[in-house]
Amino acid sequence: MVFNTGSALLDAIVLAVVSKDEEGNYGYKITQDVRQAIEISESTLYPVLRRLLKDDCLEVYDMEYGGRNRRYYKITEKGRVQLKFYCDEWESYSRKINFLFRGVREDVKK
Amino acid sequence: MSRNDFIKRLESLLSDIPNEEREEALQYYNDYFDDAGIENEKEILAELGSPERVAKIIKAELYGNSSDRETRGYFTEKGYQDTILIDDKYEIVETGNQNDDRDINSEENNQRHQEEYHKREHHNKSADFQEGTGHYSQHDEYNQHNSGKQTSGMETGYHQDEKYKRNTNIGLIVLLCILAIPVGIPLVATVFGITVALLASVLALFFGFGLAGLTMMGVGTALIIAGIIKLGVSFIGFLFCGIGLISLGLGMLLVMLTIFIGKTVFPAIIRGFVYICRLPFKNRSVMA
Repeated sequence: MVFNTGSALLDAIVLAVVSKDEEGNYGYKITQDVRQAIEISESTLYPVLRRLLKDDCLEVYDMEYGGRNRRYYKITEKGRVQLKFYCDEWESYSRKINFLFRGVREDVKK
Repeated sequence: MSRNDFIKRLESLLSDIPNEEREEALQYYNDYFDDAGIENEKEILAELGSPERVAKIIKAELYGNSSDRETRGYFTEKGYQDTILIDDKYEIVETGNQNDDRDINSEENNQRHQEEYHKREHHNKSADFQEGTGHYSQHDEYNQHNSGKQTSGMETGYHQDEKYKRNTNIGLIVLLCILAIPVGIPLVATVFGITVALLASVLALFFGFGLAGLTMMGVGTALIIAGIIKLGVSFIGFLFCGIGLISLGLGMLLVMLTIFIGKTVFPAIIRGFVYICRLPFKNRSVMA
């Protein structure tokens, strides 16, 4: 089980957000997107991106925007494999948990 | 503090990490401010917290080995939390590379975190079950770090005390029961008699209502059938049908009332009675 710690889930969420765009995305936008799902301090996200970068799950490139270079983060092939792994894990994990919770909900109804 | 102050302070705080790492981080936060727009600058600054805090997170990620990271972050209902920041709020000094960074922290910063913690805790207290888990996890951590041993010690002591109390209570109750026999037997007999009488009357009422209802339903049905047969004869058919319907309706109401009494009121009465019977015993054990 990889989701016993928060960091794996956070990695998965960030990878998923970044992979949504073929061209990748920039830091501010990624933060905003991640925050749609979970509350997270802005200062926590940079280290996550940095970590994924070091693990070769993400790559960066600069693109000009409004007269300055904006750094974009893009998912790599390795990142996609990793994300797929996370998704599968999450699927089985949440199914098991849901199974347990379903019983609880019925008990409460009684 | 303005954006420029923030970046400058961050740069100086990160002066002891590799150039590449520093540039990368500064580029990221510069980008961040640019993309957020000037209008959001204050907000972003408030959310990021002090440059010291940001620098600490960056360094923790940089120098912390991966196993450390695995155990550090966790999710609560409030989103993702990094314990490296939580530690701050409890003012726990940990051994390891994060120590140096903490020293840089100003007094004011610590205070701010503490306030944040209190606010959060307060919020959690007033929240529902799900939020409660978050509260628990934070509190749990707190206990572990600060007073774990003390709490558990106190708890076992309490249990032992209670056990002792219960034993003496049972002995006293037995003694009291023996002494109460001369008074108790007539008392029990009286209570028994009253109970039987009450039950009988309630049952009689119950059956009376039920039977009346069923009878009225039967009569109603018969009248309707008769009415339908006589429908050809001007008024009589309709009259019969009408009376039959009224009778059927009243009968149904009575039957429903009976079912309600049987299902809800009856058990409630019994429960209430049992409770009343128990009351003196309860009082006695308290007095003992």
